[in-house]
Amino acid sequence: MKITHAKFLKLLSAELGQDEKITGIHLNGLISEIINSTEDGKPYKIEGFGTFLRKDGELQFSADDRLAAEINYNYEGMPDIDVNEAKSVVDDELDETTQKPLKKAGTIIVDEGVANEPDVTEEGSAETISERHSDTSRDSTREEVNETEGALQEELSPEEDPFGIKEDEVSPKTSFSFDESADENEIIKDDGAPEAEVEGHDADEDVFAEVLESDDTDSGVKNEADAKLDSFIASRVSKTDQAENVDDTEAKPEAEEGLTNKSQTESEEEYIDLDEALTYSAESDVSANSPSEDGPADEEIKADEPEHELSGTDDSESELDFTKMDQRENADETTQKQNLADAASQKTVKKPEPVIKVGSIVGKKTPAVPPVKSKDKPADEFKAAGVAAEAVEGSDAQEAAKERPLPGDRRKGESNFAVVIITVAAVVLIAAGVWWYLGSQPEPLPTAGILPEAGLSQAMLDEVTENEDVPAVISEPAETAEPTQAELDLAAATNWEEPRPVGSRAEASSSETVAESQSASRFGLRGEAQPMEGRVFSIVVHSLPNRVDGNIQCDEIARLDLRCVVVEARVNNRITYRVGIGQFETFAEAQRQAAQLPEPYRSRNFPARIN
Amino acid sequence: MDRVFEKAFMAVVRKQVLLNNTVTLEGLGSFKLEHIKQKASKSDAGNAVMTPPKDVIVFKQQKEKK
Repeated sequence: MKITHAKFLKLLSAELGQDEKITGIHLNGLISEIINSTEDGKPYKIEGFGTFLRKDGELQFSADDRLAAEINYNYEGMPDIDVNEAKSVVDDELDETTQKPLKKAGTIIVDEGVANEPDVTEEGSAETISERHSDTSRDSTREEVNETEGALQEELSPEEDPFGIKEDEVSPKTSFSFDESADENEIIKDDGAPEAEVEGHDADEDVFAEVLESDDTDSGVKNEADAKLDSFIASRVSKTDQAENVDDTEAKPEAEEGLTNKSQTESEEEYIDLDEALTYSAESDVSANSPSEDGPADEEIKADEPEHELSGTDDSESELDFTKMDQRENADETTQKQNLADAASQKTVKKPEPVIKVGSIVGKKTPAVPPVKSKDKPADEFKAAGVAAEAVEGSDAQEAAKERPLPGDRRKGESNFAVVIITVAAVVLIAAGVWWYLGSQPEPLPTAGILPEAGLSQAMLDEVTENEDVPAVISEPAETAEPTQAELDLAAATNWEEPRPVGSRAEASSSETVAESQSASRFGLRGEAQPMEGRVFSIVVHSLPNRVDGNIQCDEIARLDLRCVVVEARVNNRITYRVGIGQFETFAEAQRQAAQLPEPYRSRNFPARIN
Repeated sequence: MDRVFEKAFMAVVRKQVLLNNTVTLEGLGSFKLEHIKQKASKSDAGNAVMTPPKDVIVFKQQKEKK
């Protein structure tokens, strides 16, 4: 539209509130003054409007900076843009273009100063918060893990081991091996003794068979049989001494340990059983030694003896028969005590706390050494020992039984080998069971933690059977087992408690997809302006000196169903408010969308980064 | 010249130019707003530079009557 001189005069007169003629005179005078001034080569300057200048005979006008800014309000403060840099920035720092929400929404007024301020809603801040939270949660998790470890250490006590490994590993002798040996003894009892035992037993039976047979034959044969019997008894006594010495050294600590844990009921039962057996043996001792003494007891015994002696053939050999009878009774006594010791050892094995029984037996065996040695003495000394046993008879049969050795204990040294074999077999069975159990478990993690543990237990069990050092063995598997279990629980606790910062690939891809969809929805030409941070491009259509004008222009743009943003920018220490259309992730996208804008924005725009 | 008259002259011209109108004054010339489009150029370093558009006021001297 053209404003003619006449029309301009009307507008000016209206502005001044003067008449048009007067305004016309003043206007013509201004124009003559400008021309005359410039013709003289002098510039004519109107403050706030510009300077007229004649250059090369041609009148030129240079607008004042303020007027130029007001005229160029749409694009005020826009510098030149290095396109390659912008593209490279967009391409290289595409991750940074992921926009973060600001506090402001709707027709936003984005302040660069404000934008630079740390925002609690920023991702970094959120990460920091989450990291702090994760740190605290990790601390709490560690505490919980420690507590769990402590609880597990408590739970790892042999009594509550779910796999039954620790108990077997830790104390194979106290519980496991003795159970197995008990079974083995039961097996031996049922199926017969092992080969060595069978052979020894057969030898005993042979000797006794000969002796018994010799009772029915002549005296010469009897003498030979008696000699064999003496030598047999002597050899058995020496073996028994050796076995006792070994058993005493082995059983003493166990006795001390077992006495503290011994229950009254078991001890009573044990004593009752032993009392019965030992009382019987004491009676037989008395009956065996009674012939050398005078008194009512002797008479009673003598009254009983004739039945025994009636089997004899010659009266002149009564004294010898007495000796034979003593020896036979000693042999019977030895056999009975062997059976008694076998029963005691079986009981010892069968009980979960075998030390108690061994200790009780040991306590009874300890004073039995002198009588055993007395068996090597002649018959008269043997009788003297019988007198001593008789003196004990009146007091306590049990104490009398204590003075007798327990020949059955000699088998203990022989049975150790069987115990070792049984222990190894049991360990193999348990390992197989553990392997089967772990094989049935779906989780691989406990398997990895326990399988080597089982191997360790086997090795340690072998070591235990060799060294028989129970306390030292107890500590080692406990130490080796705890970290493994703790690691398992730590892993479980970690899996449960710890947030997943790394995440799986699927989770990362899903989160990225969500972020991309969200970021894609935040960008666009239309719709409501989204508060964003980072690199955002927009189609700038206005750059105004004040915010009010910017908001007015933004409202007009919003009426066209376009997304409008007002961005505050400082250029040359002067604040301008840029009005942009749309929010775009890249400069190219903003440039492409600018072609779709309606006029006048389509022809007058400048895609630029707004923050 | 009266300063008040100059301020009024300046305001009217600026307003009409901003309205994309061409103001023609007899004996002097005409004022109009001219839009300079954005253009791509190369800097001295050889980088492609995008120059933003600009709105400027343009004065054109009246041709002298013969």
